[in-house]
Amino acid sequence: MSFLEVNDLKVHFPIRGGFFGGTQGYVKAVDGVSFSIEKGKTYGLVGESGSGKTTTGRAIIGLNKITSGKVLFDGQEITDLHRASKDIRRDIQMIFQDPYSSLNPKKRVSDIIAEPLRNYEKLTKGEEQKRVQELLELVGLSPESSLKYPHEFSGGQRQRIGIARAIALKPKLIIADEPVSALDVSVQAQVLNFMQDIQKELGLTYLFISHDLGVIKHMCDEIGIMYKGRYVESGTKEDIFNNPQHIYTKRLVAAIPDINPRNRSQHLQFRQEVKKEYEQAFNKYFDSEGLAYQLQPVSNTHLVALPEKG
Amino acid sequence: MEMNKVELVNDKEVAISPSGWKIVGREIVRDKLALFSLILLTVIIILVYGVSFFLNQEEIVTVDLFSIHEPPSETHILGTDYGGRDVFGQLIIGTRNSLSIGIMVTVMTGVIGIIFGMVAGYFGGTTDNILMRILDFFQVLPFLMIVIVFVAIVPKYGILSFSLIMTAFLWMGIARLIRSKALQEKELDYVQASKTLGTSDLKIMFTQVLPNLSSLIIVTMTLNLAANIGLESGLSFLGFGFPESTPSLGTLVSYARNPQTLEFRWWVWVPASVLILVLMLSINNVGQALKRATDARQRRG
Repeated sequence: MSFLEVNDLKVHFPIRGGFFGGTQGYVKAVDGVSFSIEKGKTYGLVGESGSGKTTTGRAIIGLNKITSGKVLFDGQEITDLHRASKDIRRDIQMIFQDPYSSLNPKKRVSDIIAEPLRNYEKLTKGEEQKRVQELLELVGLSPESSLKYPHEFSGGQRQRIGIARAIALKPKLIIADEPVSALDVSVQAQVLNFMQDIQKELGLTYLFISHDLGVIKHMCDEIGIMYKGRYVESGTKEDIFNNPQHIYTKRLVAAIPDINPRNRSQHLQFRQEVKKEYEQAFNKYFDSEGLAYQLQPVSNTHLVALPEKG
Repeated sequence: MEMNKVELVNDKEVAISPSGWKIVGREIVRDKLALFSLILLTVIIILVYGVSFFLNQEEIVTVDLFSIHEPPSETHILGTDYGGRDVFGQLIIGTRNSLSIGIMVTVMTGVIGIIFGMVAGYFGGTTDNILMRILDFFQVLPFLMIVIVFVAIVPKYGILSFSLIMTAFLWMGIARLIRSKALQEKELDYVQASKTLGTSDLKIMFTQVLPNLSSLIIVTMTLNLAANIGLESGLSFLGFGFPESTPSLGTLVSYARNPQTLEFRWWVWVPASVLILVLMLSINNVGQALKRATDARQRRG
């Protein structure tokens, strides 16, 4: 059995309007998403802005209300996380996208990192300080940092504080919502490698949400590609990058820049071909509303949203 | 991991960040006007509460027909009013009464407003809607009229009952302010992060969100303190505040409605007017310094 299993997850937001503020319709932010993650692996969720990847992550951890569908964590249902037992909640933590707004500006670093410890573990002041120091050391910040305020740190350091807070309770699953997209490119690799290090060290499972295919390729074992709240393709890293089946995926993969300048014109030509194919085959791959079809298995690991035959 | 060592070395040179009170202290010392205002305010408050301890209110407000309108002399430092009552004694007791009302009303409106606004703003939706309609109801009540009715109905009222009636109609402003800020603040990631870390709503509201509104609260409360002293004086001046048997700064100033007093007997109303001005200015100056202290970008110290 898989570690985290998401079954036909739907998150719909009501559109309120009209004279009496009634519900006029729904924004289908996430519309029937299913996937599963194995323990110790990294699952990448890719998609353009507004494709519902962040909403999916937030719904799993309980920040967005789930309209329908099921979320199973380690065999237990956590669809309504507020009702779920406290033990499960401490096993799922989140790393936020924006390291500037995700740390309370009025709290010292020691208070920020100790917050989860105070909620779940009854520690004395001394024990708590010791744990904070250990965590700071683990994420590569000096012990003196604990008395500082978040505004005294750089973006990369702040993100490390966010990571330290997320791993304070030794969780099993971490939902990383674009953890590096707000960071400088030079710091991105640092944070990503660090995340891989602690994954090995603590045996973490990641749900990695990103729009950067390069980052995804670096981090993930399995990948799901989202478009307008639905999956268009999912499979292992090799399936997606070497054998993309859906035109949307093909276009995404074609957009990864080539480092070799000699291939520039060739690459451009390839991109244009893919673009042409995308425009021509759009109606074939998407239904009348421009949404993806149901997923069809192509191989054991590879699922693609292809129109039903016949 | 190599670069971590570099950071270790760099961080050791940086001093430990100062705590909240140290910053406030430093800011006030740096701002000479605020420092002067704070000292003046402290002196006035200690003097007023200290001296009034030794004064007998009954004795001071007793009419003495043999010493009407006496100019300042050795027996009466600030002369007497039209009832032959010692103006200095009235000034001290009046300032104490006015200050007590100002402080009590500010604290009570603050507490009610913060809790009300925070709950409405943080939960939002239906809770917000219901609470705001209650607030709107209080807002449309005519404050002045009700105070006049209150004065007419209750023949004998003291500082506490007067503070309560003022509080009942003055908590809406701060509640609205806190609500609007809480609405903004709850959308920030650190609130979401606290939720995922298992912190309860109540704890998030008052230990995570509230400190971020502290600058707003401190400034509003300080300015409200000045305004409430002014409001009390204003009501007393109009005759809807305290009767003459309970002196306040407003009752003293209201003697100036008599043109004779206004023109020839300055000692009755000038000290009270000057004291109102000084108190409100000093409170404002201190409030501004506190405002800067709570915002790292505006700090001078």
